Amino acid sequence: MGILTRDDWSLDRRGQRAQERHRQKVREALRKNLADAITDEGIIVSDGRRTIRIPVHSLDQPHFIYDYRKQRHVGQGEGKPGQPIGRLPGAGDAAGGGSGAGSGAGDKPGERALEAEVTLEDIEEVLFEDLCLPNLRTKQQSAEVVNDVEFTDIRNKGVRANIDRRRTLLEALRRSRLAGRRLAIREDDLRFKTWEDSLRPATGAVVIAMMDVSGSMGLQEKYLARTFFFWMERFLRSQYQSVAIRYLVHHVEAYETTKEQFYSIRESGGTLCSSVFRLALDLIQREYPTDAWNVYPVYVGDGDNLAHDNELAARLMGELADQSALAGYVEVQRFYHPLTLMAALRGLNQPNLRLCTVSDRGHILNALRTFFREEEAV
Amino acid sequence: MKADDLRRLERSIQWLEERAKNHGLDFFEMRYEICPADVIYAIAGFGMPTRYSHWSFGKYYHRQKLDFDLGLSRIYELVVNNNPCYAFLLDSNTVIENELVVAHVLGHSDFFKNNARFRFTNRQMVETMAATAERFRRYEERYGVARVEEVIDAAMSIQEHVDPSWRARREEPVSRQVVPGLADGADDSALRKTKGPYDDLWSLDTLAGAPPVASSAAASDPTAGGATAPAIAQATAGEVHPPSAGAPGLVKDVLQYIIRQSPCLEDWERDVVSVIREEMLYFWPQLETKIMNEGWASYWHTELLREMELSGQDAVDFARLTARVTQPNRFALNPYNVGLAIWRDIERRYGREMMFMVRECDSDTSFLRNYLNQDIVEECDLYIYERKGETWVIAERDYRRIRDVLVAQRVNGGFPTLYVVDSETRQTGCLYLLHAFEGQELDVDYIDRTLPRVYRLWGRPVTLCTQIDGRAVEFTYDGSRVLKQAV
Repeated sequence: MGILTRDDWSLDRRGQRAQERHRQKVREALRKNLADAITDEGIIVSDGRRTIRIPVHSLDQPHFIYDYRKQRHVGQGEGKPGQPIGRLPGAGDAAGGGSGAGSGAGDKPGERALEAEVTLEDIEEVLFEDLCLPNLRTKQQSAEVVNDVEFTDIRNKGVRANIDRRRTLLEALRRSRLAGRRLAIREDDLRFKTWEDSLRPATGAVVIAMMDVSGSMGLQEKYLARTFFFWMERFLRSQYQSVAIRYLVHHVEAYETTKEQFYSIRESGGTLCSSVFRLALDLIQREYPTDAWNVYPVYVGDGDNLAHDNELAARLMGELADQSALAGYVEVQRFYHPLTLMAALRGLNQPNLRLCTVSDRGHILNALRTFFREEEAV
Repeated sequence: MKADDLRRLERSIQWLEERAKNHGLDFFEMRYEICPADVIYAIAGFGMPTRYSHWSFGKYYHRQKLDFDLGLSRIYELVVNNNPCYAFLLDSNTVIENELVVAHVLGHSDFFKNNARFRFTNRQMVETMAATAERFRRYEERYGVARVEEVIDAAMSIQEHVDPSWRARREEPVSRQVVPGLADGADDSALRKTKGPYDDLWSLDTLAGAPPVASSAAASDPTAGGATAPAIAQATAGEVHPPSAGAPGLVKDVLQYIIRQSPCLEDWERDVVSVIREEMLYFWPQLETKIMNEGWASYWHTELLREMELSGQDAVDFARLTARVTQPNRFALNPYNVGLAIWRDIERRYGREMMFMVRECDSDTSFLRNYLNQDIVEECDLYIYERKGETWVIAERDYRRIRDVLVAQRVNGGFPTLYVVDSETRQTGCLYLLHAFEGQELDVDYIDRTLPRVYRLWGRPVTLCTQIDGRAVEFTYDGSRVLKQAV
């Protein structure tokens, strides 16, 4: 007669280990496709709630197979001859176009085997790997405090979860050796770590997002700005306990607005960058004293400033940079203009101010890397 | 499962095994393991309880585990063709569910033991795989995970191109132990020696008609361990002129050919490829008897549980479970459902004794050819569907056509039949594969993607010849890109 057994499988991790290897390969693929993945509208528009699919050629498992679409198959169910039963997932869509010139394998729609689903967390993990916060200055005092615990003492009684294994073992060793017995851990040997509540100043950061909303900024430009701010906020949140964002827009005048409006307002008229820089300086002075806050003012615009304003704008930006952990100026340019605000800002030679130009989605990754790296490479 | 439940299950197992034996079922010694869900899904993802690790198994594991966690699907039975036969039971199953699984796997175990297609399968596969996994771990340590993975990936891409025929299998010792390090020594092929500037001289042997595979091949054949000398000679000769191939000089077992002749593989790589080949040959009979085997097991679990005289709630649960397992699918045939229907039909027409004969002699192809009829087609609502524009539509319901489609799908396990053209390969040093075209075209995209994998195993250009739109076309991968050329 057969044998019925029930073993302890709790240490069996083969499935999880193989799964981890698979995940690792997905992440490698993600690393290669990062520039596209971070600008995917599925992620940005849904605010990170949706997942996206990325191409993963290293996960391909090709075989010599028949062309599925040219075969007849057998199924089960009701229905008369001629009745449609639907599309097959993945198989039905790839047909129509035929293999276009130069399209590599896996370029066609519907080839799901070559794609993997990634979540916002996956992307963050890969993206933030090589980003860092430069020029961090210790803040003297903070506007906020958080509760914290510190393990400071060892006691004989305590919560099981806080057993100090090293001390417990030492205790057991000492006792059993003195008694000349085999090593065994007893209740009396247990040592527990205990903690004290403490107050710790919170590190907080504020992003002052500034954008040009004059007529020259189109949907494309705004999407680039939005993508940039999205990842910037995400990254700062992974570094600070609290991150606040303030949204300032301007044309010839500047004013504060909400996040929703920030990406949708479109005003007519000229562009006067100095207006928004001045507003940002006021805001910092009023609400975010720099001895307590890490301030990140970042401006996104097309650089098409009124010529006479460039000098003033550059000076104000210099002041902003002085007061902040890091200041940024992103110029969204779809066509190359030589005489922009960028030229004036370059002249500042401010290590705290990082400049970059973004002309399409592929550049967002570069822009992020320009901002969040250790040293300004001059 | 609670202690009470375990005791009841233990009693049921005894009762079920006894009953099954009385009915004439002849199964291996059984080992039932109760495990948690993630272990069941890990085993299912790996295909076997002791197999080596590969990322694709992790992918299957994760996908199935996710479906289980979300309540979308559930694996009820997991049974391994081995002596003793291992069956894995889910610990979150109710007792009646596990009783059903026990009855079901007894049917599988009987089928593994008695069906002719399984005759040459390795019945110690669980141990063999455990040893393999250990060797692969050592390879990973020595050569790096990435390199081992690369070879596994490459070999898997052509894993179905073996020769599972009775004739070929008969000539191989059943339990084969690959001993790494033994594969070299006296080299067994001209191609493998060709590494210097005078490579082409070696092929003169072949051109002159001298036997390219000398007796040294047999002596160094790592797989020939315990076989007698004549058997080895036969097997080696069979490789060049295999009786199963259509024409002389065509080799069906592509993997075997690569293992023996590849000029680039290192010994440990050869071992990896031969493991993939062994495992495919082990799994092959299960591919060939899916409908029969599932039908047979379903037939017996219904018979045996009916005799158990279930009480009210158990009877309801049992009926619900059977209905779920045999639920038809619009896009594929459910082997539990159709298999069961055919077995019932055989019982009605020819009696139970005939059933035992069929389970011994047939495989799905002959099973469908001999016993599928219009009654069954109507009972199971079978139809043929095909593509019309962007959608799939039902084409017809005639049992002869359905039978022919099902049988055609099962020729060579449903995979295209490829041969190595030996003479061509020996002349040029480039692996030449010929697709035995029988009216079904290959997916061109997949040719482009698979050829580089084969190149990894051969180390020189690889050509596949097939037919596209009625014309012979050669696809060649030369190490950098795939060239397509009409012949």
